[in-house]
Amino acid sequence: MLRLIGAGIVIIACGTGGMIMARSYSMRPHNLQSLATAVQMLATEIHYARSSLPEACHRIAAQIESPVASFFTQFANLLAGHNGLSAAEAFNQSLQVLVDAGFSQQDVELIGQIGTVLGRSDAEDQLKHLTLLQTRLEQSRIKAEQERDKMVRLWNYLGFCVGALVVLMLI
Amino acid sequence: MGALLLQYLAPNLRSRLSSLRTWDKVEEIRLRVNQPLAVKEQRVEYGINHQGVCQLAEGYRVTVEDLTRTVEIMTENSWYALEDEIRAGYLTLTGGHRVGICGKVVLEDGLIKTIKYVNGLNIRLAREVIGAADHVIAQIVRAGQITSTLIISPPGCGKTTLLRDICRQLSGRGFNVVVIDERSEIAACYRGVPQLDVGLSTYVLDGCPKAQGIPMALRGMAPQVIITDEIGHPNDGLALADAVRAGVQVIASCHGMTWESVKQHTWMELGGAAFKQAVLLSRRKGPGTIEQVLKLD
Repeated sequence: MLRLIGAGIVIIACGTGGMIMARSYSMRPHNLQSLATAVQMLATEIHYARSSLPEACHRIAAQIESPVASFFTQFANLLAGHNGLSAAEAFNQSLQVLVDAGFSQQDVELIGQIGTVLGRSDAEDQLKHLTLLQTRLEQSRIKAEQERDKMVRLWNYLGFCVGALVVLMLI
Repeated sequence: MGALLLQYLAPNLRSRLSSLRTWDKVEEIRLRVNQPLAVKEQRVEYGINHQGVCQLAEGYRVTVEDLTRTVEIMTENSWYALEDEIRAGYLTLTGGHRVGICGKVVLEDGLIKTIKYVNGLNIRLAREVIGAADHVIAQIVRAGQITSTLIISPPGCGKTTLLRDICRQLSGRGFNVVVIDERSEIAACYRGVPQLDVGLSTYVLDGCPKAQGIPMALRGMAPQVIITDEIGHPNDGLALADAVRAGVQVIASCHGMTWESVKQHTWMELGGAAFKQAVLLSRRKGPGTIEQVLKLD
């Protein structure tokens, strides 16, 4: 009886691990899409409305879903905090929100590139940087979708299969 | 005032200036790269370091990083949002304080595109003096009628402070006042809301060029008097002439030492007839000393 329960636990644990991996693959295109949408909104706020960064980020945060919204809220709060932080420092600190939300290191680094230039030049130059970032996010999203199509099903099965294999080896 | 202003400065400058106890007398804070952090009070410039007030030469040396960080804070990390002001060489902070900017000017087609490598900032503290216009208001309003007046002085003699109080007093007497506040110094608007008292019945066109703002006010706001700061461009003169044709009085300021020097300006030929009197200011007995009221009829 105990063996049966143990075998069940092993299979469920491995299966859950596989599903978690599969979920990370299936969430990535969605996350990248959210980021690309936010970057597009930021470009509009900067280039057309000339909103200040804190104002623009608060407005974006109100219109998109978490965790990207939490990232923009954090960034806006740090900027408006009169604590002497530069935009680059505030941006880098806020990236932790994305890391905590499970964004891949690769994607965090991609969005992190804009932090060093954000708010430091005229609207035309800002638009160029944001458009470039948007293009890169779009390319990453297409790759992430291709990976998702391959990997989600694989990890969903693989977790349970590995669990079953472990049980067979242990019996 | 000090605490509010300190939040706009880089941490290194903030910590040095936090020991200052005479904020009510400070007129300017001057930041120049690799030069001492300087505070100007009533024509005297002194330095400030970690021990407090000191001789200018012994003051804390301002670094490039201090200037860059200060500009980032002042612009809310949004240089692009203040492009027009930066092109004109200044920023306005909450409270109406004006910050002059020096650095490498970038030109495009012969016109200033932006300023980069900021190497100096001059923070001029705006001060609201209720009652500053008490000595001239009787000459501006006679028998219930406003006389168009030009206020003349070199920089730092209290033109804007006087204009603001004239505005407040005229508005308090029931006149419909429109302020064309191109540099946001008269009403010191922050996100459109005046931070300084400009009166009960005053409309403010904030950040609007005078040449465009005066016709806008004439078309839509039915003003009895238009108040504006630092007339200087020929187009300002043309807009003043429009105001005269519309029968609207104008109270404005311009830079100059004497009436004779002001008369030479091109804008005077175009719109100088708008003014019926001129008030000459100096700082002989402190900012806002009224030297002379000239009748121009």
